[in-house]
Amino acid sequence: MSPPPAEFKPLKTFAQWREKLSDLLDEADALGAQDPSPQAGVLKLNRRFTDFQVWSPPEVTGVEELDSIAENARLALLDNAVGDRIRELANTRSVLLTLGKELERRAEQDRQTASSMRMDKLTATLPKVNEAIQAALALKQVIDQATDKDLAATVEKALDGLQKLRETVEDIVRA
Amino acid sequence: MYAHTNTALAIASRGGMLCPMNTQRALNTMRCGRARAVPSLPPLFAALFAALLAVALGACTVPADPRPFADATAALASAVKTSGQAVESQLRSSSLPSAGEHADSLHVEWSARIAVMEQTVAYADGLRQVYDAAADSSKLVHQIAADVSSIAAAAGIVMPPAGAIAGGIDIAAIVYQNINNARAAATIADSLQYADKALAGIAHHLEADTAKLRDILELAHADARSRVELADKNLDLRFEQTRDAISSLASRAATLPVEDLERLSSLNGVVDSQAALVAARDERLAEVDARFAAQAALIDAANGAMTDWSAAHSRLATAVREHRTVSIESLVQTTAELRELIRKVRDQ
Repeated sequence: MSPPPAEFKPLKTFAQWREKLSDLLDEADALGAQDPSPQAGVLKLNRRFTDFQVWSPPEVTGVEELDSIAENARLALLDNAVGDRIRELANTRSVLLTLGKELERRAEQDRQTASSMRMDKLTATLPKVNEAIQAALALKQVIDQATDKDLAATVEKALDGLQKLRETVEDIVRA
Repeated sequence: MYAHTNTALAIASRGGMLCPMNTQRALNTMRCGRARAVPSLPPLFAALFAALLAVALGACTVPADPRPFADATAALASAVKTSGQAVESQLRSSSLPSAGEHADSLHVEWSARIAVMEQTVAYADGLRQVYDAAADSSKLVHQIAADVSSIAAAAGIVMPPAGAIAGGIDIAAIVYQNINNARAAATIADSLQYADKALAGIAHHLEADTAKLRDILELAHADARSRVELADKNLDLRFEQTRDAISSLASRAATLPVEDLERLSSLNGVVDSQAALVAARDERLAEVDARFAAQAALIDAANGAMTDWSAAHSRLATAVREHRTVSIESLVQTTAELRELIRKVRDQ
């Protein structure tokens, strides 16, 4: 617990407390008139409005009402300062987004270069070619010796392999 | 013959930045060739050819390593995101008249910053992908060779003897490794050059923005502190009045009438309970301060890291342009610190 601040210690009467509040409100108005409101000044005045309420004696008639005014002023002061900072952020948003887009374009180019270096298209196709060839060979073997049921199943598998190959090639062409 | 081969390999190894794996592979191929003596493409010839080819191709221009920069970018993006979320949450729970509205606006603004940082992460990741693609070139050639061999086997195509194929593949791997190294080096150098100004601009704006975010956090923290103090708003006043009364009575204890002594005893009980309330209130204040300290430390670190991050990118770009190596150890350290601070804020 800290002792009462020197500015509040000598205050005894309602009139003295009212006068002190009036001074604080004048300072709040002066800070609020600045754009943006100065951070250090706002924080300091918030502290003083808080101390006002902490140290104003409830036994003095009318002080409760002064406390209520002090609290509203404190909140308005902070609220206004936060609003100022957010407006400042809004002012630079579009510049940042433009700069980000530049990097995004470069990232896309680099990704494409990496993909080309990795031969992604070729490496994606080879396993499908392999599967299609194996399916075709199996089909040839079955045609020579299997029943109709085996034949149908193998033809289906071969077609499936060819379909996958076609889809892969189509994807590559589209890319 | 072998002496000449070794000389060629030595030249390949000395030619700028090294590809020891490739020269070693070529050497192995050469040794295998001695044992197998494959007629169609003698591995010894293949190794010599590969070594000479490596020299001719510029002996492995190794691209600049962008991975520490990419790691730092990811950590910084995470710090920016976590900082914004922490402040938004703090603001939303404040007692300010427009708390919800402000928190919503901050969410919109900070989402734009997070999106920009994600774009920088994508950019750094693009550099990393190019670097990795070059590093994996030799492995890729061997993988493709294996796939082609298995297709040939499935199709019943007769392939040359394995030893001869291996020699040819090794040559292809060296050639492709060199081509990709050169391509990656050029791509990374171009990208670093191209992006440097945009990245410096982003760092500059985000440095200012994180300072504003810290201001908002300070304002929300000031409110949180005031709320704790005003929850029992005259506690300090009552505590002080009680202590003053005790002090006044105690100074006259020897001469006090019985009723005042009883009052003194009663006040001692009151002051004890008030002291307990003050201690509990101070504990709540300490919690509010600790939360603020962790969040502020993260924002401060992100703010400070912006300059380092942008400077590291510039140094990397300059070093690549001037064919020098560059140390970005401080950025690695910053990355570790950011991750620790993010963990602390997330653990709250």
